[in-house]
Amino acid sequence: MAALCASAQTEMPDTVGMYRDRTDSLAEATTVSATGGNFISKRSDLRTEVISAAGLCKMACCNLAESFENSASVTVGFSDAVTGARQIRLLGLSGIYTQMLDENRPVMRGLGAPFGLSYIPGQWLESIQIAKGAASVINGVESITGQINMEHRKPTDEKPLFVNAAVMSDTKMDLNVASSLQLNDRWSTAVLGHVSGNVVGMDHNRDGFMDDPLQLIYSLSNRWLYYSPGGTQVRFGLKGLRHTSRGGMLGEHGRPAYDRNSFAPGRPWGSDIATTYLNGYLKVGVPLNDDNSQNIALVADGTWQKMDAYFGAASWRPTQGSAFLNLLYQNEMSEAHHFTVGLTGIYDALSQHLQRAGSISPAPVRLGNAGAFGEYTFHLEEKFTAIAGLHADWYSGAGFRLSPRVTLKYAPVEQLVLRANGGRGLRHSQPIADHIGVLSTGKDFDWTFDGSPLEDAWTFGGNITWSFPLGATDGAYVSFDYFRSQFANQVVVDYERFDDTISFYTLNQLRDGRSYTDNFQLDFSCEPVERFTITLTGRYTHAVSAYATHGALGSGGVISSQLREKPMVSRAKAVLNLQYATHLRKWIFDFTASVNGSARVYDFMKELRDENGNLLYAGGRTPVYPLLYLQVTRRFKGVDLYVGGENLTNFKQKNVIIGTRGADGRIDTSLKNFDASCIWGPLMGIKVYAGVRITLWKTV
Amino acid sequence: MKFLLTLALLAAFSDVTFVTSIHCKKCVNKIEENLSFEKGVKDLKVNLNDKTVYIKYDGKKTDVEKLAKAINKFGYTAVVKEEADTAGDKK
Repeated sequence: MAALCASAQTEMPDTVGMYRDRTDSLAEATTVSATGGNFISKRSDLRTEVISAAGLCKMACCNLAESFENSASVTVGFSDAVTGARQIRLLGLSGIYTQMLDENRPVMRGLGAPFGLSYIPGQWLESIQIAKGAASVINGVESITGQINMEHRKPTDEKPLFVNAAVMSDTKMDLNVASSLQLNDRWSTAVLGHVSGNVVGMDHNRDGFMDDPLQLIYSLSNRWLYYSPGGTQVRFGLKGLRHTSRGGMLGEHGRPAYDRNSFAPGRPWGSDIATTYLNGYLKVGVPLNDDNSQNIALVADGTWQKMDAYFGAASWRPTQGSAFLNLLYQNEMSEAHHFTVGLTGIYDALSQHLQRAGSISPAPVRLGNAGAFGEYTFHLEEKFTAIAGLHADWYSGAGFRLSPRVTLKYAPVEQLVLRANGGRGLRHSQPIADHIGVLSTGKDFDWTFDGSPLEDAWTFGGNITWSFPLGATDGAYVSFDYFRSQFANQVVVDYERFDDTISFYTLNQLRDGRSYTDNFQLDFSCEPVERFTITLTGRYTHAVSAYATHGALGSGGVISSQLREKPMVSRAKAVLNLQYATHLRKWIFDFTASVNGSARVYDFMKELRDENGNLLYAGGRTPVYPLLYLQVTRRFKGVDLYVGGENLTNFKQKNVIIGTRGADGRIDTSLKNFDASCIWGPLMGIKVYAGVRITLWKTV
Repeated sequence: MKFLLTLALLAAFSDVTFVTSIHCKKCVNKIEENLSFEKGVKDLKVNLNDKTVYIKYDGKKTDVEKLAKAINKFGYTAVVKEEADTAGDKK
């Protein structure tokens, strides 16, 4: 009986009773598919790609960033060549415009953004949902391009022990331990532990800089669930993390060539970063009647994070305390009519000490917004859904703002789903944290504003998904979607306005300041024969923005501008994934190939040449490049063994570090033209890895 | 020759369908993850709609009682819905 009760709890989404109206972020949250990996959810109101537990095992997936390697919706890259900070792009825009959710709590905000993707081990997760476009207003309106929601392993999972250990050829090691324990019918808990790091710095391209920084991450999380027979749910948890990263110039024996206490102009350059992160949360859901058609919920989250970061002689030492509060009331009046209303607030206290030649340390800022929201849902059986939401908030430094959002879904027949959504997104920028790569340069900073401007954008788009029988199943589908994000105001970080200077300004300061991104995507998936799946995806992105005219100075507070393609944004991407599993899935073979399209390079990169004098970026664009991944998994009872390879074509971005070479042939990091932030491709060549997953299931 | 040998082996296998108490996709996953590796199991199909677990097995290595116990071990009831000796059917 206890096992059944636990199973019953397992079936419930983590946020049941709190977000039951919306299926965009929860429909597949509890779906653990033993087959396949990534798929587009048929049920969800928004166009939602789901990366299932099986999908998270297709690659090494050491952390969240790597979990997106076989997704065309999300593009993963490095922020710069030295720190190891990863960034994603959704709908062609930086990941800062995608709201990251941890079981529907906003995470990776502000200081958490640069390294946050490395702080979530892929093996801690049960599934990931990528929802494109203007998502529900219930979690706030910081999402502009969409939401990525992570579902962790649950306290109710009947797995008292899970261990995953992996080692890569670049000496990176990864260890994850998870334990879910059901103490009784009411209480259950999950403990998640993680340690990863690499011990030897490598310099395959012989530019004097480590290809990947030396890193050590250790984190521990404890999550609790209390579930009463009356339906009340209480969830709370704590997470702590410590991260150190040492990148930059390589010395002897695979160690850095520097010491953080002796950084000075002319001495070996490095990035030396230490981060501490603490988070706690509480979620309470209380049904107000027997059938739970009316309920109230409280979601509270607090985060404190501190970073000590040295970039050569420059340093940046920020501290951020954040709080998030959401109080909701939901009422399902009938099958057709639901509504949710609530009060919400976000608060960030950021202090930062920036010590850098020619830069003034930003003043401490207190950012926040508080207000109310409402969302009404109309269902016409399974055929039609309409959702209208409104967020009304007061924003510090910007005043009152209204953010409406609309979602429509129409399924005239079971095989065909049409979706459309649109709405406004607002977020306070944090210029340095949002663009941490600027610190890996010798360039001057040119600020034209103080503090953290409010970025304002509208996103509209739609999707059509057609399912049909093909091969072994009737679940084959073709899906097409188009989205446009258009900014009313945006912080622009401009590397091209002045030579050897990074200029920070907003679209509002430009004459004809516009910025928009059009994104088209086509997906196809089928299972031609039993246990063999094919997934093919293609994406095209057209991203343009107004940039200050080269050398333009502000006149009466307005800067002349021109509309240009956004630099370093890949125009297209295609991904093919093949998976074959033998009978009873005892052997699983995964193959992923991607082709990444070209991107415009910064003007100052156009004349860069390789060691043979050839132009690196003919036509001012990056080359098109392929990436190949392969993994073979052998499964035994409770034990999976896997080996794999990444970047099997061994493609690497050449001449990653930009600047003037000194007499020793090395880039002179003391000059203003030193730049390690112009990254568009892989930094590491072929990597092979091997790992083991051990699962102990609960028995009676 | 190899083909004939495979046919002969398949003919020697038996199958059984259990009606169980599974009720969610996680139950399906749990059964698939564990029963697939039980000694003698040659094929497995779990159907959530009618809560059945179909198993093709090698009668020399396991039997219905052992398979039912393997399901019971993970907290689910298992009652035989039909038991047919594949070889017998073919005759």
